[in-house]
Amino acid sequence: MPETEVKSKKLTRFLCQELLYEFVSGNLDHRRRDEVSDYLSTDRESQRELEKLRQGMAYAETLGEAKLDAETRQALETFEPVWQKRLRDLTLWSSKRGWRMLPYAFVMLAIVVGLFAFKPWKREVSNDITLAEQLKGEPDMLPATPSEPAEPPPAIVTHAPVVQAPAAEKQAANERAAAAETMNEPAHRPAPGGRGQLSRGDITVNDFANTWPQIRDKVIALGGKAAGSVEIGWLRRADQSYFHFSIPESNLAELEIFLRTFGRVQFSKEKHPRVMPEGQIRIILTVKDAVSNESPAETP
Amino acid sequence: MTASVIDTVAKYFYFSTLDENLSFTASLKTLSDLKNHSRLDEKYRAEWVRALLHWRDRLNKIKPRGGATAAMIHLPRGFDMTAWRSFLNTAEREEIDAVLLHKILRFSEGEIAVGLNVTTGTVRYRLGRGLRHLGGFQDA
Repeated sequence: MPETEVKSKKLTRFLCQELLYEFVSGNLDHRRRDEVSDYLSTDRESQRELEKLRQGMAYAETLGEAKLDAETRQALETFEPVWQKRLRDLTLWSSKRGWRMLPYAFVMLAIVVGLFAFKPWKREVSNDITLAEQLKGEPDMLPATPSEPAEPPPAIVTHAPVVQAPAAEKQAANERAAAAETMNEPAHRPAPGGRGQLSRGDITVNDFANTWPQIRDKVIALGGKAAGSVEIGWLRRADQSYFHFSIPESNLAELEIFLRTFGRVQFSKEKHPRVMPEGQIRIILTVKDAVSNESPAETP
Repeated sequence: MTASVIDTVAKYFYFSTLDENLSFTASLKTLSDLKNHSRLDEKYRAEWVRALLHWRDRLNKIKPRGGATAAMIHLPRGFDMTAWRSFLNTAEREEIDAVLLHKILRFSEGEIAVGLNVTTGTVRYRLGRGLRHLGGFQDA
């Protein structure tokens, strides 16, 4: 419908009342304003509506003068959530205390990093005890007869003894351990079902005092490790040195060549209850002084 | 944050709900919303309208919190709120918003039209009906 046609529509009460706001606001064109004005002069209902409109406008205008409370405005402007307040407080505190706390924080950090890096609780267990080769036959762990020495052959070799005994006591302990070890050797007491082997050999040298340390050093250099209770090259007597050690099998030939430079040596293999790890052999070597050991040496 | 936007938002929610705590919380959310979108400046008044209506529709989901003062709004001396309370209870939402935004909060018809996404003619129509409705309570 064209706009001119709408505007030319005859003014009804409904239309007049709907146009009252436009009429009061001055948004109607002259012709329409005159029509509304004429209609209002004749219709009391529309006059009442106009009066309501004016009262409503006045009321709203007055209400518009209401003011927001200054304290509320301030609260809205500066409001912070609880977490934000705590964060701000923490930041403030740390900014004041931060430099003083720095050394403590550094020490704590160093301790934590040190613990994490070195793990001392693991180190104790792994360094103090080295498990030796395992006994195949359990009876070997116990004395075969009541008459045998009380000390059983140790199944665990401790590289770093916890208690350092005085030299005399240490010597006596070594002798006891060697004796027990000797008595438990399979040469004297066959082990049931043992599949392990032991190489045993003797060598008689002319310059005993200088030779046995050289042999000891060579054994260690070839990867030899003490297999018994005594250290490698233990002086059983003033003229005898006792070597009980394990060594990589691949180094046996080199060791034999080295020993032959001092004298004739021959290894014989014997059964032994202790099964060595793959590629390792157990050797008992006795080095004797040629001067004082004219007669054939006893095997321990 | 300008005082203008704070006053406008707080008064809108107060005159919409007549509840200090609820209007305070709703005002915080609306102001936060406007601040996050950098719409606190006067040139974004149409956006204010949009944000006000957005949070007005979610008033029932807002949990009021403390922080408001006892007298959040200072009314003109001797002003009677009965007519307004009756108007809130009986008028249509669009009429209330039109009267509140235009006559009390002084938004222009154009700003309201943009904020409500309607024509200015629609805004004027709602204003006329709303004001007549409001004026009717003064007769009684």
